[in-house]
Amino acid sequence: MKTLFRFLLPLLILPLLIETGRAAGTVGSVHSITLPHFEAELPVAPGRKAFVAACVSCHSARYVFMQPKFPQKQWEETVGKMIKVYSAHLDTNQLREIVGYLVAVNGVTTNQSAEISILEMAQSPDAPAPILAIPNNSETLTAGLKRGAELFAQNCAGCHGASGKGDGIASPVLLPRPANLAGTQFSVELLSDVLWNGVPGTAMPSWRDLSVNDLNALAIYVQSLHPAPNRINISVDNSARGKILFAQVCAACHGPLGDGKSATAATLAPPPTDLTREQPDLNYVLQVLRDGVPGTAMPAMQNLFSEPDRAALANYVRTLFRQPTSTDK
Amino acid sequence: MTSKKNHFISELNRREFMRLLSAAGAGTFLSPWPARADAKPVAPSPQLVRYPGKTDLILMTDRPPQLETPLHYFREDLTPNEAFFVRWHMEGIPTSVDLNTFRLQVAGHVSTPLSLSVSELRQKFEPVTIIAVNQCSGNSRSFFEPRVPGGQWKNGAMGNARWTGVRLRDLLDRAGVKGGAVDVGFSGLDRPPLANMPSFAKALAVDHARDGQVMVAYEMNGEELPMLNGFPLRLVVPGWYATYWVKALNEITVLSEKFHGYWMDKAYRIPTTVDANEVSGHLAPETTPINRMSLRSIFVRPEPDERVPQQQPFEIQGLAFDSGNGIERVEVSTDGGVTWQEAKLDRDLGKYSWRRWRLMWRPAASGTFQLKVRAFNHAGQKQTDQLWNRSGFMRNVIEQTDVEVV
Repeated sequence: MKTLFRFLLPLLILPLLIETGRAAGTVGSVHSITLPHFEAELPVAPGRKAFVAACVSCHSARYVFMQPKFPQKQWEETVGKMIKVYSAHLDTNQLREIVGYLVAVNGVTTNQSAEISILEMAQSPDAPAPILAIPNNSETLTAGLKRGAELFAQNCAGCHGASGKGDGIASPVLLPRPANLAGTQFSVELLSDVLWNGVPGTAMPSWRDLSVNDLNALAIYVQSLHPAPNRINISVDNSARGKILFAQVCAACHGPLGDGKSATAATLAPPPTDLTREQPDLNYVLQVLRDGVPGTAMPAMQNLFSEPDRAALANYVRTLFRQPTSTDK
Repeated sequence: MTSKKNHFISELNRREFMRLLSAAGAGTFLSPWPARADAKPVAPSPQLVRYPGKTDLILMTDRPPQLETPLHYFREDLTPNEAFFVRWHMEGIPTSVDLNTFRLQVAGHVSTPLSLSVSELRQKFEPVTIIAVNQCSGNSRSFFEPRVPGGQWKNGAMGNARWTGVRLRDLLDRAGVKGGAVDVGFSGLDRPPLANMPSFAKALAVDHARDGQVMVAYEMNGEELPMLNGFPLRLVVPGWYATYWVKALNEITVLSEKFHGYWMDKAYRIPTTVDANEVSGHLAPETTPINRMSLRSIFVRPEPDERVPQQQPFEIQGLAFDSGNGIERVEVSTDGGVTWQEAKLDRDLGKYSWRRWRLMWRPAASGTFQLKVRAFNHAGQKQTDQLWNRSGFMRNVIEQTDVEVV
């Protein structure tokens, strides 16, 4: 019995040996493998024949399909690289046909430079807001500011005004008025959210037709409109009083944490300000606490507060802002 | 670099070439999917495939093969050979090597050119072992915004392994580097499909080559290298991106002038800006060859789309590494960056190894939580929130993952 078992044991191990890829072997001193085939199927579209004739002999079509949907310009560059660097012999007609094929099977054909792959589009039709960030490096920052200024002048100044103060040509007829971008410090996350989604209940639209990089440049520029990080002067007494008032008066809409999350908020358009992502200047807060924000649910509360209470609340509200991590410490 | 006849590349490549040409004529291809009547592209869904010597890996491209390691393998100190990622540039990859006839040539600006078999390397030179991270320059490229063309990796184009072999310095000393040496060039058995395409070759400055850390490895995790990772020898350049870790290494050439070739002068270049950062549409005017790895930290657990139960302990895990300065600490946030806690670091496996980290977390309620991680090293470097460059290289931003707690 024992001998039988000892004999059979290696046979039991065989399946485990086969576990890792087939067709690898050593014969004497020669080590070799046999590569499997996973060629991609090529969809039918004009230019397919030209693509097959020129490209597939060197590499699989997966090089194409793993890319996101690129605009024509990018596919031209890529095919150009094949000619210049990788010795592909193509005349202008072939080049045109191949680029046409690539755009048809994995490209964007409209102005929209939505760089989302076919796979991503199938899985999440409503893409989340891109993660924008302010670069630390001054060269990149300068380039971003320059581009952002151009875009702002073209797209934003009509409502927000040339200097972003909310006094653009269209502003008198809009309710609520366009935001004074120079009077509030915005977190990059909020800018990303607003640029991507717009602000419901206001004239601020979504700007998804801009490329992510342009959106990033705008975020950089808009952040720069607010002069410097806000200094907060709070006396300890003041802060405690402000906190109590906030809980009594504001939390119902702005949420107990001031982040705009409350049951009421879900019903309001525009939604209550998320004070963890926006920090208005002190004088603006005081003004709003007196006059409200016309065109929104934020009421005028002139007679509700004493001056000291209004000051305490204004100070407290400005402590809720979360600094971005890159400027930590 | 002299071109030379090479006995070791399988005839398979030429047969494949001929077969594809005739298949092209017939208009059909081998495919694991059924044909589709409409013109929509077949979505190449993230597919797991098993190549020779490999376990199931994520298929990026088949020819030449580029295979990504699934994230869960990074919950181990060392990445198993069969799970180690695969990346070749051109389809003429070596698929057959005869150890009786294979030789590593050390030639050029040296007193005594060498021609060494693998067994001579093992017997005639002192063996050394180092644990080092091998990371593709374009690892994580698919996360760049705006997107850039190239291998669309997630975080799996890297691995940590124990490399055993000989110091490059010992080889160069044995050959006797002559005065006036400037660069050392490296190339392997892989070949481009067309003769006038640039063959893959990299170079290091001679002082770097002789630093005693750069090595020629004949073992990976105590075993011979998989064919797909460069059997029988590869260069190991600790702390530098993997483009320099030439696979199937068979030619080392000392040069009395700077090396010039496509793969150093045109490819694998980064902006000369401080953090290799640039803005799309306003590219940096100057570039330089990519070199040291940036400080980096990533999540390994939870995986994207993993759901975590509320009010139960859950161990968040990940990695941190850099170019060899040593990780000082890792901080994790479970509230989108508002507050940070220090993670616990696993034992130090060496400055070129990655450092695993852990943090026990007990989510108080259900909902979506934004986790972030950042590392600090002994050289005072930090990670930033933003990085973009035209090639999608060196991604090392503060990682963020959204977790669904249920």
